[in-house]
Amino acid sequence: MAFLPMFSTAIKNLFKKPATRLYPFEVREPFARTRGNVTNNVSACIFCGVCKLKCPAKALEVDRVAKTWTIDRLKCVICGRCVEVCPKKCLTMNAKYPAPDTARAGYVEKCTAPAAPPAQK
Amino acid sequence: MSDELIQIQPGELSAKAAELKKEGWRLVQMSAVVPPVGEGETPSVELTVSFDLGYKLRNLRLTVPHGARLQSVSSVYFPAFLYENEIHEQFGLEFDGMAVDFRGTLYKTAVKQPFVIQAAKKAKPAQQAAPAQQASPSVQPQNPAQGAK
Amino acid sequence: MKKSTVIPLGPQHPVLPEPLSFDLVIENEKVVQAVPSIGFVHRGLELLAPKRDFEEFVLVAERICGICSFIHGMGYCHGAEQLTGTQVPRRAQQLRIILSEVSRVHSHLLWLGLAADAFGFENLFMQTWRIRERVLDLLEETTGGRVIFCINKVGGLRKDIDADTLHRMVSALKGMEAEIKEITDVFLNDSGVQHRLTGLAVLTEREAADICVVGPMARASGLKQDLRMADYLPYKELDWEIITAKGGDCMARCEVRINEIFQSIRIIEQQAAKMDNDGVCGKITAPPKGEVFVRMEQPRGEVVYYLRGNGTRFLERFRVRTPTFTNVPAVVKLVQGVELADVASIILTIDPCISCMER
Repeated sequence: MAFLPMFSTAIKNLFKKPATRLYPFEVREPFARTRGNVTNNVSACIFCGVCKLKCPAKALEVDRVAKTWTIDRLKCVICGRCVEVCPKKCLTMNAKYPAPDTARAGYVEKCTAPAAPPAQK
Repeated sequence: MSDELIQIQPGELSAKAAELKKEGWRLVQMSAVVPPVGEGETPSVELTVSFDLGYKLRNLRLTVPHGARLQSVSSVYFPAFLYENEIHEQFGLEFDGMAVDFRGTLYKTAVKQPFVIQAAKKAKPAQQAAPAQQASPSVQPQNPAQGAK
Repeated sequence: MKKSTVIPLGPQHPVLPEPLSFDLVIENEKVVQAVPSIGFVHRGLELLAPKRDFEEFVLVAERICGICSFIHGMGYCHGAEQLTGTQVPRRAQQLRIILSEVSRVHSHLLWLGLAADAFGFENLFMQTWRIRERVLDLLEETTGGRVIFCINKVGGLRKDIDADTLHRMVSALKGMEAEIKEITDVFLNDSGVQHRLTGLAVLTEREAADICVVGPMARASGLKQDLRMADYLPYKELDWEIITAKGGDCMARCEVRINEIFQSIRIIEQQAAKMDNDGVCGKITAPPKGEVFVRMEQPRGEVVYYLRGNGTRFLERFRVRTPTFTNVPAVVKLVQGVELADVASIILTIDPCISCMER
């Protein structure tokens, strides 16, 4: 049995730098593989709906006729399944987490395909 | 690791459990499944009780109709009371003589006996789709109407 | 004359990591009887199995629990691989061993912190979690998530971890060993901690076998029981032994878990030095059919997965029996005759993971 074995650790901690960061002045950079949020490059999207079918959290809505792709970020569990199965590889997994917000509506993102340029084909 | 599966009669469960306890088997788990049921039939419940000795698993399986009464195993294996209460609430089997009886208040779900209800709900489409499944068990996703519930 | 009172401990209590309730019948500060009450985080995840494609269900299975997330995903995948007849490449199995052991290190460090909090030593709790943060950083770097990894898939792993990253992981873990030793020496040698934990909640070997406890609870009572000896992953190719302790009290359980941390780091080091290079994912050629029992060793004990498939892409039944489910009846017995202040330590000594238990 030792007498106060934690004492030396506690004294060392007085002279070490703190374990916490001064957020928001010091922001931790995420790693390359970190799963933060999913975004869609909607100009390449063909609205096939495979991502909607495969999503385990049912967070995606795809309308082929209206050419819209909607994600509810509060339902999304950031698993990356949609990114894996997308046939056109237009979905990307970004490393940054979505910022905090005060309203639910801020987390539902609806992307519409850009209008086709005239005088093409 | 070799697994054994032994079918037993419902009345034999307590006796077999006592026998295995004497030989030193440890109770691993008790779980239940509601096998697919046809439209309008009473669902049955398949109970599997597993025991372990030296990394070998021995499973005792018994099939009883929904709502059957069984003798509790918790006089022999004390931790069984938690499994039996869970199975009582989720599958509707009755166990006599549980060491701690929660009387249906273990999980307090809004829907009672959810697994039985789920099996009954799937009864109608299962009958129609069965011949097609047996014909071609290929890796095709099922029609969205049944899958995306 | 003795007066009885009923004091509810939980479901919300500062010392409990997850909601669990015990109605304690107390007579003059000693607990006479305890009635457990669970079901506060029951989410009905088993009911979701027939509604999600079996390949997507891994992602649901992983989210049963935050601490044991990797092994839940792996157990489900192992079962689905047996039902579909998929071959898992050796590299994937070896990476699974490495990630399971990193998971075990982080879980035991988490437990050490919570156990320290239970007997009131908050400084020790914070120091242990400070070390744990670095393990979580390793996991985020290799798998993408700190708590939920999403790296298991039916057939193997989604992403590979290259030799360079493995090497850095091993050196980071070995670098942490000295700091972990400093903290665990406090657990084992501090007179205050010894006073609180020694002789508390003793389970003899006979009682432990009787009440069917699993994991470090059983091993601390002298039972040599570790599912890593069964063949779900090639652990037998590495050099390690089952860690047991005599005594069966809270201090012995603490010792077992501390020794398991160091053992896990040694296992990771051994495995990272002999990796095969045959890919990380096998191909699925058939939908799941049949039934299988899979048993694995989680940080808390033996976990059992039961999967049943009927030839379609949707499983018929998925059942998880977690180690906490088997260990909670032991608390009901251990808490009798103990003082009220020690009840928190006893609940923490089984390493309760209530969200696993209730799915």
